[in-house]
This record gives sequence, structure tokens and C-alpha cells, in this order.
Amino acid sequence: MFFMIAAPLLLLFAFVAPAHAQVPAFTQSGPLESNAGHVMMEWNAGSAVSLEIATSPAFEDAQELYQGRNHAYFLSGLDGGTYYLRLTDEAGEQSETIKLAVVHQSLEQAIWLTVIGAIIALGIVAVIVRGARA
Amino acid sequence: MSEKAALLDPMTGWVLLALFSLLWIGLGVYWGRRNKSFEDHALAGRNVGLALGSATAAATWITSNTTMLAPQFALELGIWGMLAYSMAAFGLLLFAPLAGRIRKLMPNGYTSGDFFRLRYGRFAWFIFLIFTLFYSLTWLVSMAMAGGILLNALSGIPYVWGMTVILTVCVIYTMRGGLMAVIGTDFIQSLIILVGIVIVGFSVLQNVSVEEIHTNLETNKPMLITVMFPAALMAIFNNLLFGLGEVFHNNVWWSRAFALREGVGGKAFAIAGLVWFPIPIAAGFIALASGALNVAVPSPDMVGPLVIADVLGGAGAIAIFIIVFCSLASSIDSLLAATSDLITEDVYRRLFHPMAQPESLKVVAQWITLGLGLFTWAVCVPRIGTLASVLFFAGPLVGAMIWPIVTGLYWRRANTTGAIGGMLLGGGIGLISYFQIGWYVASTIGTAVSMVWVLACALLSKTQFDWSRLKEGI
Repeated sequence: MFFMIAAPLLLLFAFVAPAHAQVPAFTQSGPLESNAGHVMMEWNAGSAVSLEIATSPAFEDAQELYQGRNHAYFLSGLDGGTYYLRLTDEAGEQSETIKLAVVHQSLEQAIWLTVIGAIIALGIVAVIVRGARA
Repeated sequence: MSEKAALLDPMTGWVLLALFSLLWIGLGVYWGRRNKSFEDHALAGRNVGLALGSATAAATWITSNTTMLAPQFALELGIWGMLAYSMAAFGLLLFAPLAGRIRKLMPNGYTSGDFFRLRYGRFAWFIFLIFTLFYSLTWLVSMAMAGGILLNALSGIPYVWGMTVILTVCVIYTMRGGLMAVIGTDFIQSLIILVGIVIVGFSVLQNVSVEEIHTNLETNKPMLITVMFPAALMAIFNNLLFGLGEVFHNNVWWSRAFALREGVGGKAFAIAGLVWFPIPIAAGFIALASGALNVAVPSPDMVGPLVIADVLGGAGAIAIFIIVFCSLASSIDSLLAATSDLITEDVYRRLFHPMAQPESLKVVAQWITLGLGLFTWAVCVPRIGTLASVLFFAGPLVGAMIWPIVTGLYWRRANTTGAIGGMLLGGGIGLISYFQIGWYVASTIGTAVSMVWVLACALLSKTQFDWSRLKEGI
């Protein structure tokens, strides 16, 4: 009996419910970390969304990165620091803010490895050039 | 645009796929009609000229990675990332003198395995076979998977159908035409890719200026134009050494060195390297323009096609479909041919049938090509997402083979202990660093360890290798 009443009501609700009823939400759980300044942001949303980034949790310096119906955005080239991201849909519903910490790898380690790589490469060139001349 | 929307409708994709499939198969059958022996099939009669030789080397090195991963490198690692990808050109440029040396020392050689067996003995040869088959098969699988994924993303053709068609086409024309078909189709494919990349590059520049791109990057993605970007700096020589290892050891390149007419190899590889060098820069530039063009990127490996479709519209979508199809075919066919030749020569003939006749070896090579195609198809069907990334494990393995090959070709004192230790220590420690630190150091550390061991063994050795042994026993 309950099913006979509930089923049509549920169907009716499904048809009349607005498409943007789903509150936008990131699929990742924060806080996020990146050691190369890039991160893939993914979310679920029932309508078009606006993705914003800011350096303060209150979004005083918010900058819109993307506006549209995609469910992902690849963010790259970020300088070291702490960032905050949030989604806002067409109805003004906002996702929870997600925190992103960008801490780049050690520059000293990078320079050492670059120097080692250069020495190996020059060594290979030297063996080939000397061998080709002989 | 929705992330799930394809750039082309599936019908257009199927028509393009059918047209190019018929073209490659037709040309493969035509070029293969004169192949009688294994030498004709595997090495195109050892008589390939400069134009075809340069084009095949360049086209084989232009994989789907060049057109799809180079923009991703630029989007993730900026200007340095773009240059880091271009560093792989040094693989071809430095192989140029090696190609001449290989042809001179081994006028009757068939595979890179022949070199390891004759120069360092059976145990080193066995290690080489494990390393190179791991690398070749993972490259082949990653290319076939990329084919299915890209054709699906570009035109909506279902993954399994796209992957099956591209693999089947390459298997048919490689089986029928051997290396001559591979080289011939590579020539046409390289021309299509080069013209396509040039048109796309100029089209992007007509839509947005360099100043606008720079301003956009400075404001929104500052690290991409920063000189002291740690991850990007580390990628430069790691990528260079990975590229050197790939080219120096793999039979794809050795088979071309054997196939090219005497005196042609050095010039052909040098030209190919120079032709290839600017392609990742052009492809990467497209990615750097994405912000200024206001193209949202839902997935980094799709940045190239998205920008091209935005700039050129429907024509751009067709162009990128053709470029991607050509890039994939030119690499898959070369890998199929070179790997089947390696298995035919180094496993079937050397281990089991030393008295096999050239005509029967040709038939064996054709069956092995078919078997490789079926194996690749079976591995690719489940579409295991992480499988393609296995290719990056090969970085330290191929890096560890650079020094045994280079010193083995030029130094009489290079010896078996150095080669075996260099490959095992370099490959092993490189793999550990891959997991302990990251992919961006694995090739550098693997090559460094191998170099120290190989040099120490050569300096302490009193052996003097007799070069004539490389001519014997083939």
C-alpha cells in the first residue's frame, strides 16, 4: 500500500525537482598538496558551475578559473603558497572550500640532479665524438 | 564544451579511419610484393636511401606522445617542460654517428641483440632481451591503448573498436610488407604530421599574440615561465637520458641502421633529429596558449586537441584526428616490425633453429607479428588505466644500457663484467629511486650508476676486444 502511494510521488518529485538540486561538491577530500604546482580538480554538480581560487579563506581576492558544465579542471603553474578553491552553481549554492598547499621540491636537489645529468650527457657525447674521430 | 563531448561526430571518425586504413594496407601490400627472404622483410634489402631513412626515423620518434604528451609537459612544467621533451631529439642526433659505426662493425647484423651476444656474451644478451622486451611490449601496449582512448575522445568511436582497427591495420601491412612497408608509410605519415603541426602552429599565432600568452602566463601560471622551477629542471636531463636509452638500445633503431645504405645512416639520423627537435616545442606552445585563448582544460593530456579544435573548429578536429592516427600508426608499425624481427632472430633462430632458411624465417617473422598484435590486443581490451604508466618504469632500465652500448661500440677495453654489472646495478638502483624519489630522477640515477660501474670495469680491465668478432657468427 505504502509503495503504491510513495512510488508515484517519488516519480513526480523526480520530474519536477530542479536540475540544480545537487549541491556542487569536489570529489577530492582536502587539504590537497602539490610539489610541482599542478593539480587536477574534479567535482560533481547538477548544473554549470564557477570554479574560484583565492589565497585567503574568505575569498577576498577570488579569481574565477572556470565557468561551465565540465566536471574537471586542470590547474597548473602555481607558485608556492596556500590556496583555497570553491565551486558555485547557477542557483548560488556553494561547495565546501578545499585547501591546496603548493610546496615546490627542493631547488638545491633539482640543481644537483641537473648537474649530474649534464655530466653524464657530456660524458656520452665525449665518448661518441672521440670514438667517431679515431 | 562538456568534457565528455567528442570533437568530431563518430561517422566522420569512421570515414577517416576507413580511408586511412585502406591507404596504409594498400601501400603495405604493394611495397611488400618483392620481399622474398628474411633480409628483404626485416631490413628492406639493406638498401634504404637518405630521404626514406630520415623520414622513417623522424616519423617513428613522433609518437602519439609527441603530439599529446608534449603539450601536457608544457602545461605542467612550462617552458622547461617543453624543452625537456625536445631533448629526446638528442637520442636521434647522437645515434647518427653510432649508426655509421654499427653498419661498419656489423655489416651482416640483424638486431641489437646480435651486438650484445657477440660483444658481451650470452648472459649479457639474456639481460638485454629481458630489458628490451619489457620496454618494447609496454611501449606497444601503451601506444595501442592510447589509440583507442584518443580515437574515442576525438570522435566518440568506442575504445575497443578504435584500438582494434588501428592495431589490425598496422599488423596487416607490417605482416605483408615488412620493414619496407613500415618505412614507406612512415614517409607519408611524417609529411602529414609535419604539415599538420605547422598549420596548427601558425593558426594559433593568428588567434593570439606571444605577448598575450606571456601576460596570461605571468598572471595565472607564473611557474610555467620561471627559470628556477625545480620539477621542470629535474625533468630536463632525465628526459634526455631516457630518450638516449630508448634509441641506443632498441631494435627499432638498430634495424634502421642495418637497413640504410652504407654511408647514409649518420646523415639520416642527424636530419631526423633536427626535424624532430622543434615538434614538441610547437606542440607545447599550443598548450601554453590555452589560457590566453580561454580554453578550459579538463584533462592535461587533451590540451593539444582542445586548443586546436578551438582555433580551427571542425577542420582542426579533422586535422588532429589525422595527425594522431598517423603518429600512432608510424610508431606501432615500427615496434611490431622491430620486435618481431628481434624475437625471430634472437629467440627463434639463435636459441631453437640455427639452421633455419631465410624464406622460412620471413614466414616466422610474419606469424610473430600476428602473435604480437593478438597479445597486445588481449592486454589492451580490459583498458587497465595504470598500464600505460608502466612504460615509465623502463626509464632506468634503458638508461642503464647506454654506457654498455656506447663503450662497447668504441672501446676495446669495455668488457662483459662492466656491461652486466652496469645493466643490473643501474637498472636496479634506478628502479629503487623511481619508487623512493620519483620518475623525474629514475633515468638519471640509473644511468649514473651504470656509468660509474662500466667506466671502473673498463679502466681496470686489460682485455682488448677483437672487433672482427662482431662480423663473425652472424
